[in-house]
Amino acid sequence: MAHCNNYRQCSLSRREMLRQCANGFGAVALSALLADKAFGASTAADGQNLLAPHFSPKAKNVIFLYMDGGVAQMDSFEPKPRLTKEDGKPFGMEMEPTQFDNNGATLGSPWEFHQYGESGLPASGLYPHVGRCIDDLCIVRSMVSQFNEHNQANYFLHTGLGLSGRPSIGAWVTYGLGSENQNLPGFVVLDSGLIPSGGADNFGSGFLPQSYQASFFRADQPALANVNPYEPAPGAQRNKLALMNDLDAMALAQAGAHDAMESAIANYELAFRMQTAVPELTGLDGETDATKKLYGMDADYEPTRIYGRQCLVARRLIERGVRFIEITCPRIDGVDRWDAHGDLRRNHSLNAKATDQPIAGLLMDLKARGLLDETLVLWAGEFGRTPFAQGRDGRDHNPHGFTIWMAGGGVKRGFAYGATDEYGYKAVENRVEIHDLHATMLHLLGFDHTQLTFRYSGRDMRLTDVHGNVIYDLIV
Amino acid sequence: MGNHAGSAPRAHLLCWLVVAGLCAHAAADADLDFFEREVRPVLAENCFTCHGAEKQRAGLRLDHIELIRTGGDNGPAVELGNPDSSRLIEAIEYGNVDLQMPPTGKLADEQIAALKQWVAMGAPWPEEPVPTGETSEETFDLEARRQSHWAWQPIQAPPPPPVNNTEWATTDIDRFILAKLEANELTPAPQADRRTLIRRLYFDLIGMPPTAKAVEAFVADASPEAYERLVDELLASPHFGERWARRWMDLTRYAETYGHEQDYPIEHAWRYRDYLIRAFNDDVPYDQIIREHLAGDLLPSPRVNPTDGTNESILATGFWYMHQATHAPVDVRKDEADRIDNQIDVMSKTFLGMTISCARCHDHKFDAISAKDYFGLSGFLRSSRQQFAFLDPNGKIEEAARRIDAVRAEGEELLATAALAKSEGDNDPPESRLADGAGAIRPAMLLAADGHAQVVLTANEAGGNATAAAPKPNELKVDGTCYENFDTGTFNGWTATGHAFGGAPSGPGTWDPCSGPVKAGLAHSGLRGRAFQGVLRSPAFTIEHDQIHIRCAGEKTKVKLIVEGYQLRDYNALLFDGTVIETDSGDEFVWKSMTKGLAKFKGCRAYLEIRDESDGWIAVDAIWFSNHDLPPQGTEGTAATATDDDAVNDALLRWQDGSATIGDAALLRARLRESSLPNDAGVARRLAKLSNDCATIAAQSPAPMRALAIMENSPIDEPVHIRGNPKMPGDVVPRRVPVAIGGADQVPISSGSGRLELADRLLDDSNPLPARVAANRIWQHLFGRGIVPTPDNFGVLGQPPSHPELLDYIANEFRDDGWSVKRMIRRLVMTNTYRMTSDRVNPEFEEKDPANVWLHRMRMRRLEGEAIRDAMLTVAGTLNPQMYGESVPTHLTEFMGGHRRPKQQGPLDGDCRRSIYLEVRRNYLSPMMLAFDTPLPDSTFGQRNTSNVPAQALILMNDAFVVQQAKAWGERIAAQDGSIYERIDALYLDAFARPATDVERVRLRQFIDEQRSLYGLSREDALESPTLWSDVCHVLFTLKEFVFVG
Repeated sequence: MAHCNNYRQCSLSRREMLRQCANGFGAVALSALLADKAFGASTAADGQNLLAPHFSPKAKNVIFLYMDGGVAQMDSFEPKPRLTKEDGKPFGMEMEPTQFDNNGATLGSPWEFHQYGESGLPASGLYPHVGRCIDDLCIVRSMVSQFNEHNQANYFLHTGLGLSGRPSIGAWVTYGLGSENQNLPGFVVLDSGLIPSGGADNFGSGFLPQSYQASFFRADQPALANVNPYEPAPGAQRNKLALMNDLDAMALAQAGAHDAMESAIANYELAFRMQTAVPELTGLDGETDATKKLYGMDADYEPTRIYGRQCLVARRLIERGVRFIEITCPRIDGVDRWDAHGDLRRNHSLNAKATDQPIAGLLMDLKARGLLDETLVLWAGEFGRTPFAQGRDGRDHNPHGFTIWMAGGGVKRGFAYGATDEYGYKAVENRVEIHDLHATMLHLLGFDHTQLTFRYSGRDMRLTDVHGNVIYDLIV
Repeated sequence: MGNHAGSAPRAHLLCWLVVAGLCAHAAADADLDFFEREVRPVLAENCFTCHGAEKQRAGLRLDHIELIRTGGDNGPAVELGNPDSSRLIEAIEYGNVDLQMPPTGKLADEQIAALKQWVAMGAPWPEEPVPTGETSEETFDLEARRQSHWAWQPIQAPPPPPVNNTEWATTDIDRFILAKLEANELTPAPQADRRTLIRRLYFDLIGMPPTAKAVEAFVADASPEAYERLVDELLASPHFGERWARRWMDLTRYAETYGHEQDYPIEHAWRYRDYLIRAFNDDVPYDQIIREHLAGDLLPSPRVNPTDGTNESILATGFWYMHQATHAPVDVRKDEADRIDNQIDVMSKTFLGMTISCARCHDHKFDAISAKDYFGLSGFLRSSRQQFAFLDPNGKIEEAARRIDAVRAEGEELLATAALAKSEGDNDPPESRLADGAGAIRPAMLLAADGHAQVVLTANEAGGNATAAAPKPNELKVDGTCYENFDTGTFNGWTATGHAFGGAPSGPGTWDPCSGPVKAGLAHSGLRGRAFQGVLRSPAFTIEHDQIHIRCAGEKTKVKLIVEGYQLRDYNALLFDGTVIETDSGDEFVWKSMTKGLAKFKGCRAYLEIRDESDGWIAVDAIWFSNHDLPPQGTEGTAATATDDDAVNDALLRWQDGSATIGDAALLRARLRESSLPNDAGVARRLAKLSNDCATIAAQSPAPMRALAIMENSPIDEPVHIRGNPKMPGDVVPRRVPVAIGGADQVPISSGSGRLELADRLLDDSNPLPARVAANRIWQHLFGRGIVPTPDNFGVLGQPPSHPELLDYIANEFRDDGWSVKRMIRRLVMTNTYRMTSDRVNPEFEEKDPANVWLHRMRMRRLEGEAIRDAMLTVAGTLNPQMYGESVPTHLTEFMGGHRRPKQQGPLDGDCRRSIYLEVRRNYLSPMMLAFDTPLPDSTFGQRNTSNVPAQALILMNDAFVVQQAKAWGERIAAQDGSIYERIDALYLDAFARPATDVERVRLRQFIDEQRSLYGLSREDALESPTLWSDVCHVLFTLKEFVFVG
């Protein structure tokens, strides 16, 4: 339970919040509305950035492929021959406490590894499609987290603190960079079916203005509730909203410019535009069959189709200038996320089946369209899994060493960094903390993580708090 | 969380002191040889890494016998000479899945044998110095923390400060506010106009907008008392309670389902909501409200509902059980600990503004609250249990029960007289016959005294001929213990609720109007007629056997084993399949057994609930715990076939005396049915009439009302759970309130759960928290922000009060004025502070006080989702003002899919009831309420967020409910008389308590013309076009002025 973090800040609504609005229309919105000119416009011309980047950014956008529940590193991207050799034997290292405290024998990976590409980096049989993109990946094999439990580890991964209530990294990035799109929120979570443990607090704006919190789009159509205009005639709603704006302005003239009211007005403009932008976005208008196929949208397996659709929507969001996109995992019958406490083989096979081709499709498509260089793709779960079994055939949580990878956005290509021990248990070489990952991501986006701050409670708050080192070895 | 010990701020350096210690026992050389050869190497190789000089996992070191004997978090690791009760041995034997050491794999058998032998030998260890060291424990100085933090200090009675602008500061409260304003070189904003004030008062006090009529009357009323009269009118409105109750429902995480995977219902939850509404409407003193929440079931003189006379106070206790719950907790003990954690969390935040649950795993990181304080509270809850209380509207059930009892007494007397008449001619004194009979045929009674002895219980106890020496073929072998046979004449610690079980088990000469004579010693729920309902609960016990056998008769009545408070067996059998039996044998007594899956609950605390909650009944004769298989079924207690009248009369005498067997009773009933008692003389006929009388009375008795509530369980003190783990019990903490509130020397709880004492101690005048926290909440709801802006956390991590003296002043006033919420509200809204305008009239002040902390003007506030919805219904004229009762089912949209989607679709308009009456399903919360920040019902949420997300705009633009209400409103206006402008004004008065301004009229007129041409309407048609006016109304819903209160 996360109640120890019972200090929840009530929202602030300051004038500057509107000015600094994440959604890119800022202070001009009101006047534009009153003039009834900008309605429905979808140009990206007047997107405003709150803060100029501290230095020239390598990446402009982020797609975070969140691997819900934690993927086993020794079954995906870090082969451990010794583990295979000692399969079934008592585990050779001291075991740290585990979530379920039901530790069994050493468990070798059920999957074979293959070397791919010019780099010759290995990927397991779980990820053959992603394997073929290996020369674009920058694999970190020495990731560590501080938490052994999903909620806390998720909050930590998403917000830099193992409790709820902090701004999500997506909120920070959007706060820093603003949005290039007037019609869509700057921070979008593409909900493939599973909301991560910890819920919406993983995607909140914390003490940052509310407008930086994520909006959720589901894979079904419509992607968003109430996104289809009620009025059958196109002009009817437009007339209404024009009237609304004028009357609101008249009331505001009397009451003075209250921030919360102004923010609410701005909200309508975004909502109005989303009515067009979201269906256009998620309807996949203009995508060819070949593209859809690339993402696995023709797969027999429904979770693959769902995840493929969301990956394709992610690319479309990137094209539309949305800053930060997180894709959650699809729901898979009979399997609880990647959280393979039992029957590892079935669990990871099905999760990989759902995500492998769509992810590879996304990487290839981004590359083909020249978008990969400016888009940082992150593949990560909240922790890894134990090299010893939980019970007979599962793996428990392991924050002591696990694998994540990045691609595009200025990271090295076909590169592997760090290592765990011979069993794949604990990071032993070039340990990378979550704070380091955050610092590095912000760096790629053009920010010094120690300078991207927001004053709150008398302190300049940071995503990385007082921690974090940029891992320059990962950067081109 | 991970290993925080290493990062403790004031960790001491581990410094090793070598102490020359003498071993407590002398050891022979040979023994020491054995130790050095067979034991020490095993320990060193397998244990010292984690339990040695460097690490002490679980606080345990195994590198010296003194340290081994002292043990770790779980107590001593060995008991000298006794391997079987040594945890070290238990751990290495791998028999306990929660305690298997070493974790890397089981030791070799011969190693285990050596360690066992060593312990059996008395654990010889050579004389060695004992390594000692201070461990890295954070120092926790509760008293220092209590003294250094403002919230724990007594409420002062500060005099109102001097101010310059005495004309403005007409009340003491205004003076406190003004003093701060003046100190910050600010001046208060002018008073808001009357239209603003009436709208503000309406929303703040009753959560709805004023009608046009009310607005005009208030504006026209030139009297200086007009404002005050309006305040009093609103405080007296029944809608007042609806508004303020919802705010407390945020605190007590009100919900009607348990959430989690299955989202099972929390039955009768809505009565708690109605309780709150009535309590606020009746201005029940707030200390009484707190007392009722904590111990409403225990009050010597509870409040009663004025309309039906039912116990009102008990309803408050339902809040304890509005936690989430999961249907299949693998660790049932931990599951209960988690529920209690939520109960403590909610109780302590709601009433104390303290986060006591943060001290579950360790002493509080910041506040003056220790882990012992937490478990001192936990004991109150483990000494209590959930119930669905039986309420008796207008005492009708009680009355019927008394009348039936009188008729029954008549019947019993009648039957008894018949027996005595016959016995006079008998030579044997009845006593001797009885003694023989009882000795021969009641082995069960002997067993109870014998405890676990292997015995033979004759299953066929028919008549007085059966003896233990000559058992019948259908005998029941029970290697176990009789837990209860209800033979003491009382319920023997069991607790009966409702009216079915009466005050005691059946006794000598008990007559059941439905069936006839019954034996003594039955816990019987049908003696007043089968329709009466009630529950009989056992004391708590520890499960030590695999099976529970219950000899019972009856129909459609359940006996449940409640393990560690787990209550969802009614819905899901996954892990608790074997914890329930149901009667179905009618008058025949049979053994019903709980056999399946009980073994896994061994060691758990449990109790039995005999639940007659319908027109069924049950008569329980005996309850046995055993490890045996299912007993033979079907033959016990069958009617005897004795035919001679002496035998029947003997049975009658035994019945009167209380020693009748099941067979005796069956025999008598059979004879009675045939009217062939030895001395019938019309007895059967007259009894039949009395039976009929009982049935007639019973038929007039209403069914009980049920309410979610708490009740007493067997008292128990909780041990500290080391690191929050219930499997690692530490020191037992007597039930008490936190030391920072009640002091270190509290009188022990002498009887019962102690919740009444809990309430008394928390409400003691020396505790500043309840009054401060409550006064701050009331302030917050009227001014948009608490004097303490973190209303649920007055601790170190909360924010300090902006006006500490004012907070104390109003807390004092509140307490001194009988904790009256209404008078507190009245006091606050009568201030000039409250009456200021919210307009940003002075830009300079906005710069100086951007967050308006000092209240230089009133705060502009966005309405809650409930108030927005209620306002729509009000202005549309569709509001259904019906109060109270079961909730309106949730309307499900296509976006509300997933597991356990409710089968019943609720109406889109929620039957136009106020939002407080809409069902709160944890897994299917209203999207509109969620978008407008109604909190998730997880824990206390005293200050709602006011987020600004596109979903809000999309709802107001496109949601079907909003459109529906706009249509209704538009239709209403279209059907009225009047010009366009008059209609516009009417709309504005409805929505904003003011007429439209000229520019607004012109702009609206322009819109109407636009829409007219869009729809191709003539000017005349337009005036009466519902479509067109609905468009106007829809736009008004989307105006910021509609959802904000100035």
